[in-house]
Amino acid sequence: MLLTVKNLKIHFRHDGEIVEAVRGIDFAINENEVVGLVGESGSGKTVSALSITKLLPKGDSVVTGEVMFGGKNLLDANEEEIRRVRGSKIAMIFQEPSTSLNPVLKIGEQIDEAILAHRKISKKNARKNTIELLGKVNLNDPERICASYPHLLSGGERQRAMIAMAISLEPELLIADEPTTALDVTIQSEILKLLLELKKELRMSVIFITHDFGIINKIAERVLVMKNGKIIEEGKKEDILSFPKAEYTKKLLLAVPKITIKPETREENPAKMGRVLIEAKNLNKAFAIEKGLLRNTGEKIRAVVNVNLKIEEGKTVGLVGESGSGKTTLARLLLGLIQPDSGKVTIPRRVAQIVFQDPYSSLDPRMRMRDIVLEGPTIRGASKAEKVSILKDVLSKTQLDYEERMKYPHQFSGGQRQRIAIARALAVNPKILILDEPVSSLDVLIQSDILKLLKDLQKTLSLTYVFISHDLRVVEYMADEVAVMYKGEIVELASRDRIYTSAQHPYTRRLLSSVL
Amino acid sequence: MIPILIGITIISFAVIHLAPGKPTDLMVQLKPNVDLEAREKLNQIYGLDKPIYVQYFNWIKKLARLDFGRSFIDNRPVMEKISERLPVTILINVLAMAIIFLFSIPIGVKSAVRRGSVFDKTTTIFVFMGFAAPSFWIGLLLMSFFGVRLGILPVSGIASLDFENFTLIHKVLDVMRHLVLPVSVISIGGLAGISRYMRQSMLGVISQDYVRTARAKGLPEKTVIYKHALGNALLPIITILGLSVPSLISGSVIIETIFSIPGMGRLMFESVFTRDYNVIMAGLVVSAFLTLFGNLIADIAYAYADPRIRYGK
Repeated sequence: MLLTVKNLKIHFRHDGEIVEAVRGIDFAINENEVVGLVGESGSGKTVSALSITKLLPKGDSVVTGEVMFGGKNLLDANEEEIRRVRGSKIAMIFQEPSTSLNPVLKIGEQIDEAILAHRKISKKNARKNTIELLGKVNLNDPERICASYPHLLSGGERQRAMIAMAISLEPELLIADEPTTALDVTIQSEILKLLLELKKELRMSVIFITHDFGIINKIAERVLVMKNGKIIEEGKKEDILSFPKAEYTKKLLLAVPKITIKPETREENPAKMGRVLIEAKNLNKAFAIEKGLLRNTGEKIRAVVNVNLKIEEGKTVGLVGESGSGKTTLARLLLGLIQPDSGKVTIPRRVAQIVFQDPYSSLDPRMRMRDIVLEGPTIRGASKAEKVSILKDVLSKTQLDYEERMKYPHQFSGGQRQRIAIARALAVNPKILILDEPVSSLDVLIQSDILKLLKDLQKTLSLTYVFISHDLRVVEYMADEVAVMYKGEIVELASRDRIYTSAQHPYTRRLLSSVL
Repeated sequence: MIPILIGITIISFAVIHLAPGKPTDLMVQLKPNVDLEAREKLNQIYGLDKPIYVQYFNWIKKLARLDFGRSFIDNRPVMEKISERLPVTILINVLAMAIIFLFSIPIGVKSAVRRGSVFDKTTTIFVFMGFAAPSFWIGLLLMSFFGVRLGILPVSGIASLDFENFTLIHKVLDVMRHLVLPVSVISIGGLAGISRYMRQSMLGVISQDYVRTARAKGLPEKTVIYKHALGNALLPIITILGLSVPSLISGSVIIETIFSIPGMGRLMFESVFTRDYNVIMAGLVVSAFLTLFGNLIADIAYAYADPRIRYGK
């Protein structure tokens, strides 16, 4: 037994109230095994993991119970004892590689200092070690990475550097907290592969925190399912995935989006072209790169390149691609939020609305829900009576409670907030909704609720959707047609069934093969 | 930077000249036997009869040769007047700035790291008392205590009467002794702002993911705070430093008046009352230049400290 956690409880003091985040959990980790810790946001999985090495903010939290590691209860360890465990025996990788590295220090220095904090070796030898590690995590040109600041690297490169840092002292236990959630699918599967290889090579145990059963399937040997601060199910991966016992686990598994199209179920709709509502012709948009102080390099990033797109009324076009592929720029061009350098967008005026990815930052925190939803109608000069009826109407359509109309965004959950964003869009009676990753930051259960809501709304209001996502599983569920974007171009555009059964472009195939 | 500077001179020139009263008024005000004709002649001599834009162009033509003209009051070159006053003001403010940063950064860091502790609460109270109390009052208190009751510090001017006869070391010590009180008064007032800012900035940084990463790799707490957190928390402070340059001269008016220090603040203040156009304009150009220069330095320092700015994104 490498790590044994007994009756772990975590309380937070929050505005004078005491909130119980983890309510007495027990689990053990064996040597050389990968344990998946699954649960929705707020289930207590991250705080449990952080409490193992006492990384929770001191003043605000109370942790009780027992965390036995190497014959010692880590919760009783003093500052210096726990410091010696952190990094060297138990290392961590976090979700956001863009915020987990210090922006003002070079990568090399950040890894060096991890090594120097635990080993008495010279700086020169530490650097040698660092360069070796960066090679080990398959980063090209380790010297260049060493001398780079984090913001100069891509998300995947940063996460690899984080992993290099975490394994620099060959820890016995690696805690990985959603390390691939913020990455593109193709990079995600590479990182998972790398982690498995390293685990084998270094013979370490891994606690893998995730909300994604696809990842669990790929990486874990044993699974713990958490809900509301408790472990509600535990077992071998095969058992949990095939024969879940707890109701909640079953629900979670059902909510996981899957690609269901099989070659034999393929039905080719005869080319019955409906009325074209949106048309983009030879769209081009480039952004200037600015470098350094007041210097314009004259170089440009071509965000959207020669895009042609026709969208039929009442249909959904899925726009797929990794970050930086130009999906969002295209959406903004379609909406007329930015002007193209060349080309033309034909779209009926005042009928398109947009719903953004992050319902936490896309709603004004100082506006009441009612005012957010009614801002559009107000600008368009709706009367008081009209506004009340619009509000009632769109709230019932999005299954929000009219009684809660005076609340502020922070008083709603993530799913409710995304419903508010949808209600806001619907309030001006649009024909077209541009949905920019509308479910990417939501938990699976809520994700499936919102997707179902969007489908229902499309049917009853005969809406046309442009559905942007990097998740091919979600797009498969939503879209009639799929456009795959790569480096600003639409490299493949075909009916959903064709894309998922006989993709032509190598990039589309790579995307599909990365789906878990 | 140059266009901004020119813009500033145009606006200030216009505002000053539109304000009622002329420098020549003062010369003739208490002399009833000066008739209208003589007044106009006087205006003519100084070029004050011409349209304002002509006056401006004449002024800026001279400025291009770094000639600020002569004072209307004592007919000395403005350049000379400013160059005796400016160093005093800069010296006082640079010293005060140094003291403010020397104290407020550690105070801010410590209050943030031990948020809600006794240290945090007491420093908050003291720092705000210093911030809220008017500087002239604090100045008078310090003067009466250290200067009158204890009699250990001089209360006015920047040098003793027999300054000329001192040796060099003695001279430096003498100036320092004179500066203790004024510099303290400015520092007490400035401490609150910067230390609060530092605390806020530090609090924001401490909860960042990369600080957690630093802890997770087993770095000693000191390294976590002073290398990882402080390095990032200081970035916004650089901007503040640049922004505080303009207060150099305006903030000096009160202090220089209380302690009768012959500095820029007092010079400007007096010139405004005597409508000494050339001195006012020169003072404004100097302070505008200092402000823009301060901002430029801050921008460069920021770019140096933050690689994300240096390399662009």
